[in-house]
Amino acid sequence: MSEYALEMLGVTKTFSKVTALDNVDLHVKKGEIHALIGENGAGKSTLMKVLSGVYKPDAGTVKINGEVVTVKNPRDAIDKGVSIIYQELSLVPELNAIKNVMLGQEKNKCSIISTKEENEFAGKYLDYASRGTLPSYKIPVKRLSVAQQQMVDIAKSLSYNSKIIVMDEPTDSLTTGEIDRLFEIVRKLKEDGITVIYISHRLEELFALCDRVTVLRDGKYITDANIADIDKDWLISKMIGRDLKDTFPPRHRMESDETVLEVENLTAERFQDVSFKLKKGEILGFGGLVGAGRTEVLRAIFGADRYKSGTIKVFGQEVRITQPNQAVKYGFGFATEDRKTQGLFLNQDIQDNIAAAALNKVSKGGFVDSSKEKVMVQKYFDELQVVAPDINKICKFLSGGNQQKVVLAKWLASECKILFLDEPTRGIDVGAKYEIYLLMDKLVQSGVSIILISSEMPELMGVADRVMVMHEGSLTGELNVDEFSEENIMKLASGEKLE
Amino acid sequence: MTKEKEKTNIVKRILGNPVSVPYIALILVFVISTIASPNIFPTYSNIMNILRQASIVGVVSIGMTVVLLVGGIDLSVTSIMALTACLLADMMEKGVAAGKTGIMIGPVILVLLLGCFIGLVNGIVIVTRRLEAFIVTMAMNMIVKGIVMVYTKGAPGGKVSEFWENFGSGFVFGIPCAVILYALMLAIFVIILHKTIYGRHIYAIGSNAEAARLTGIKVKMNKIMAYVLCGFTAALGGVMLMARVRVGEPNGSTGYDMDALAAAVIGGTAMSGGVGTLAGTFAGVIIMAMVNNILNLIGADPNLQSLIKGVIILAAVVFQKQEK
Repeated sequence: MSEYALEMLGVTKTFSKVTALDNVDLHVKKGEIHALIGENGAGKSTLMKVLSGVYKPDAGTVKINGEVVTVKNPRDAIDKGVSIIYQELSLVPELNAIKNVMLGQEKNKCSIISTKEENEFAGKYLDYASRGTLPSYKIPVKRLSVAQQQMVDIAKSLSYNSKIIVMDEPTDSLTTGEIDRLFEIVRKLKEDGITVIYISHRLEELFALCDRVTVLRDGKYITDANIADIDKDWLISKMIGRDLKDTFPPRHRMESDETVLEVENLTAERFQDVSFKLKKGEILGFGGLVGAGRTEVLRAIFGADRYKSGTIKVFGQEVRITQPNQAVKYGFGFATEDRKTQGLFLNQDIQDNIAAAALNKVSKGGFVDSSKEKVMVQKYFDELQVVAPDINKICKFLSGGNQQKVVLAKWLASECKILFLDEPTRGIDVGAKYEIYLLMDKLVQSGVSIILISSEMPELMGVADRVMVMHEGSLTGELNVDEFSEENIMKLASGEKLE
Repeated sequence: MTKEKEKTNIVKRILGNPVSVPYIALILVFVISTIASPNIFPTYSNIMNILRQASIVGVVSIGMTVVLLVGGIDLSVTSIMALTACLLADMMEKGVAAGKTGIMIGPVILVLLLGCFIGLVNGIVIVTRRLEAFIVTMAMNMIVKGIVMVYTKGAPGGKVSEFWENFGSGFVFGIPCAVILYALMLAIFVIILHKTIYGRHIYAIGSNAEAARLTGIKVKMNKIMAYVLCGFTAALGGVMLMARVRVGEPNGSTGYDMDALAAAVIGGTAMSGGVGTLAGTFAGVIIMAMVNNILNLIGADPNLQSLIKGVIILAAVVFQKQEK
């Protein structure tokens, strides 16, 4: 018998030209809680998708209990004792807890489902995972909280008799109390001999929960270590592996006191009493945890969602924006967090995407002047250095970084004056990130104002001129450059006051 | 050397273009049909016959393609056609009785507007209530069909003025009038889809409605407009049908909805929206008309037509999926 429950050796995976994993190793001992960490885009999720058979690696071997295995597909992974609990839980919202657990492994006689047997079988695992905290196993899981749904998902994994359970950012949308309860469950799993691979970007959690850690950076294996032997600073230095100075371009700012956007007491379902001012040529950062209401505030201003009360002034003039097309007319641009579902026309080419918000600039009487359009598109295509053979490439074939550049090019082409960027560098590689920071710097010099939402604190501090922090729908504080520190942002983000 | 390279590039580009698939199929059907019936099929008069038969489905399929492009569907086209045909024939009967022989532009415009209006209702209900286009237009189909049946008591009626009789069977420069009208409509809608802001927005909405909304495109307005256009082309199809059969026939339009849909799908239009061209739909229309024609020519069992059509549609979607 091997000492390791799971070994992944020399795993390499490339997508067209992008190397997502480069000769990555992972050694997970039996019955330990093993943390897998790295920045966004470091390759954690890709590695786990190789493990679960979603992706086939270009090279490398996977050993489970010392035996070399080939995982053909997710079902095969489950049969081999590996199951993954994704951030977006894989439950059917309309079905109840029991039926979700039994999905795909229904207890039946001649295709007639035996309810009693199912209740017993699923109930056992649900009891184990939830410890009686679920109100009922018989109500649709969509009526449970996220934490409770997660318990159902854990029960489902256990019911497959899994020996290795991977949890991908399980605490992202949980409250503190719920996180504690989750930790109890994870520790219980460990006691019962189950190996847990725990993916998170919250370093405190690793020190509270895990035994060992593997660090990935830019698709490469960096190191592994016992948690007891290391501290947070060491871990951060391994994760980042470079100075912040090199990560962010130097700032160039125009000095202006003109207020372009003034929001007063904006209130909607998910946030209350949000007030702030945005100056011309400034980058205003929005910090806070996922779900703090930052995106919702920007969506309300942009007219994508309704708000209940409050006033919005654009260039000193009070406006009531109810539709995004009005916002675009007032000079707003909004590069959304999820570019695939909200930003891009994936089936269309780069030209159609870049021109989408600026067609009126190249047309007369509703007719598009194609030659003018091409010139405009080409200009932004070149300016942003989108890596593609030409502007007729279909967007779904571009890498994440290039897709993001196309989204930004769309808003540049619209010549917007106030640009909202929601997690603009999520999931894109370091080189492309730097280019996007450079572009932001260039934009503010030309008088555009930017609001930047980012969950990466170094990014906020490296790019923004001011940072406003939100916690559970309220603004908890504002930091100027000289007050920037991860600690300060974190405090405000968790609702504490600064001295 | 470079010229050869250019040549292979052109071949590659033609093969890579999604529109070429239905056209390759079109050529294939043409060649097979020519072999099957070398004496009649490839003659000028037969080709014109095929085009004339294709023109009504063709006009209806234009609007259907637009609706499919925004990610919708319109199942009410058959009853819009029946309504316009019966109503117009009825109005013309009175005109003919009064000695009119001309185009009778007033009533024609009226029924075309009626088609637009039904499309408008479809669009408004679908967009503002966020309902499935399939269900809404199916219900609308039944409602309008019911109105037609009550109005006509299920029997053909009305008369067609001389102008429209000539339109139905006449030629201009050796080309059937209906074909000329189809070509004209095709040209107008190709310009709308590819040369106007509206056309670009149609593709954007079908490709990703939420992204389109957040880009500042008026999604609701544009979607409603797509249904209005579909109502318009269906009504025009109804007028052409009336001219062809020279009477208002309440059941005459049966099957046009599925034929128009099939033509669009064979032509590469995606049911999920955002993908497709009128050039492709045109190929789809012609393929179906050719198949009908050749089966008639070789004296095949008419019941076989449905089977062959079904196989072609199935083959088209299976093949198109593999292309990606």
